[in-house]
Amino acid sequence: MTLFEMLIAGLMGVVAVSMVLCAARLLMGPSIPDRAMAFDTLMIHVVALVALYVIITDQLSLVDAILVVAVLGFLGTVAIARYIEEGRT
Amino acid sequence: MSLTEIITLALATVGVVFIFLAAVGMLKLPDLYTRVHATGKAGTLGITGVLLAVAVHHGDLVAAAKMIALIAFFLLTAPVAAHMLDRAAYLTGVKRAPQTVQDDLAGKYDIEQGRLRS
Repeated sequence: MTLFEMLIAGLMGVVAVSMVLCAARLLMGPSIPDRAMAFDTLMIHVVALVALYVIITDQLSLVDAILVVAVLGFLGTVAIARYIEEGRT
Repeated sequence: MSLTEIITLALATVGVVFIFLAAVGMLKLPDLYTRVHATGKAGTLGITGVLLAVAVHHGDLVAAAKMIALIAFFLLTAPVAAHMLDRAAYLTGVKRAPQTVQDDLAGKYDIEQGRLRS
């Protein structure tokens, strides 16, 4: 393992720690929009993690997986926001 | 390390630092409206740094084009998602932090219709 790959792996570790912080907000969040926002940020973390993995292993086919995760995260957030907004009485 | 690897590391580090700071802010900030503002940084600047690092590392035209398309997608959608969440929270009456000094939307929003009074 070269120095470059070890440093990128260290960055992946930082992203993993930051995912734990997001999961804490997802569990604590006092309101539903809080949890939806934590979920959105968690999807961003997944995209960053897969992108760093692509840098290490040179598997360019995973770029398409990044695209799918990005679209799903955005659509999920918009769907939850619409659901909260239309469901109020 | 070659020059390409140094540039890749610098861009990826900038992106990861933004993402980590957004996560810390999401845990520490007092109410939802400030937390959404922290999330916007991760969704735009952090992702832009990491994806540009992938494009620089490969130096391939197809990969670079895909990365730029993804960056454009994130720059378009992250603020939209943040705004929709914020509006849903405001309309459903999520509480503000007690140290908030000003609410510019107070009385200007028609809560039943969900529209601004013009």
